Amino acid sequence: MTDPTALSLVDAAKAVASKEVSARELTEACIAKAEKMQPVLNCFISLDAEGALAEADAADAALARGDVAGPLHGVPLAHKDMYYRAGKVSTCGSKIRKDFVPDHTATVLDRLAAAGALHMGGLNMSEFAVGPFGHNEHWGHCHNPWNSDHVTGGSSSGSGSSVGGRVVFGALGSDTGGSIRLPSACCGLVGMKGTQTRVSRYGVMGLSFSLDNVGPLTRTVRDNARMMGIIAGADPKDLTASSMPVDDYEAATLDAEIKGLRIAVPSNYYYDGASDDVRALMAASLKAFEALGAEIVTVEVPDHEKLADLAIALRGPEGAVLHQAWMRDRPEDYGAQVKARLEPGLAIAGTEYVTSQQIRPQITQRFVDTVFAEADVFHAPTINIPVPSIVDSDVKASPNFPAVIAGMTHCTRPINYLGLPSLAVPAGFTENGLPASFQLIGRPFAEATLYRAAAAYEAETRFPETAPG
Amino acid sequence: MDSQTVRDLVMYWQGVKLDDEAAVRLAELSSSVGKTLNAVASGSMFDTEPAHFDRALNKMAVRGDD
Repeated sequence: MTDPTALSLVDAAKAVASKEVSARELTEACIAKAEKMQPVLNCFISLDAEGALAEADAADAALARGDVAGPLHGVPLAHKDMYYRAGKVSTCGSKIRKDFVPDHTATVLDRLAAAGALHMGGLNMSEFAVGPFGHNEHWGHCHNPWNSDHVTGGSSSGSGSSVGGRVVFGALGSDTGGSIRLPSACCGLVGMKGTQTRVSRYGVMGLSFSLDNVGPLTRTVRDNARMMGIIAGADPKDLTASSMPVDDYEAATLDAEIKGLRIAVPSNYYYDGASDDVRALMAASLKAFEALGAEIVTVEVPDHEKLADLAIALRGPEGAVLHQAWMRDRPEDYGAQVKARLEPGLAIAGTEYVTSQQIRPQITQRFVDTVFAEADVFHAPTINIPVPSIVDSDVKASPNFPAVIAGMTHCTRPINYLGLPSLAVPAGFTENGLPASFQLIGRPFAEATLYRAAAAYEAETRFPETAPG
Repeated sequence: MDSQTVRDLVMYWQGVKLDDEAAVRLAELSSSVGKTLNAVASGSMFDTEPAHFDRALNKMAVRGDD
């Protein structure tokens, strides 16, 4: 095998299971790639080569006995450095938690390990998952594998960079306002933010209980469906995780047919400020869907101009509660922009917070009634501008930072307040040579429908075959 | 709410010191959030139940479409 790191996650798992490659060989290849790319991408905060090789040897020994742990047996993964592993440092991308050693392990990591996945280390991220570009003042900025002068998107920056850079086969990110979908979009990946409550958050650093989501970033739709199928579902350790049955997501990606699928596109909001090249790529993606037999309908989305304020009325106080003591006692240990973005929660009234919670079901119901009366899936850009450069976007806490951030998160943030599933899918390249992306949004718990539509599009466009040079 | 009031309240409630720029930003944000909530929730909420967003999502789901 020439370069096993070029395999998809599903093919890597198959190669290990069939003993075409050993877990050790696969892991050694990923470690070599990580060591080569780290000076360029800065995607790892901690690379645990020794631990990963020990796990790989155990996986090979198990396979020799005829024991296959599960559908990720022997496949190296790495995750945003906010998924707790008992006894291992989890920095949360921060200075404040740089030596934090949790005493428990995230349920999603336990589930991936039970499926046979190996753990390569903790990935770079925006400090405390605050920041849509992936900048980090403490651990260094993460770089885009398609062009290292450009951002990875954040806050799951290392997840996007490492998977896009063909260093690991998949990674977990987290998404409070777009932090899975933005790095997926910037790095040419598939990224799933599931329905709010779809995935357990036990053992995961919180930012906003009402808006936080856990999900995978991968190179292919099927890879993503496999990881999501493993991590989704009820968890006795997290009573906020839904007990709604988990569909067979991976099955939905196989020989996916979308003839007759109705896809809604927005007549308002999502294309405000969009660049011409993004508009053209979105139109091309819709043409591809039409060629596959989908029907395109146009809808006017309700309430969207208000969703940013409604979301900040939730995220602000929830984040401020988590950070209040540190903001009071050691404000100098935050990056300037991160501190500035946590401060709004200090000035939002309790009545405003509760009101935003109280009306959330009505707002989501109105969107569902409007859009999904006409369609099965909603299509919109993930980012409606080309992926920015690091220099242009690293505005720290300068007066224009709210506008710069709002431009990046314009299309992702509303979906978190609505609580709906959203799958980011690669959609070609803008004129600066960086990836573009659309998101497919569905009814609550309609992740399988999104995977089916995306898999059909992937089979038609074959986007995973284009890799960074 | 003006920026000085925001600064005073945040110090009183939270014990956190805001700089001038932050106080101005938060005053503007507070005004924007207040206007938005007034627009979407202007009536009495006396007869509403506590929000259970998870249950609302379950009700909006359509099972068996995939």
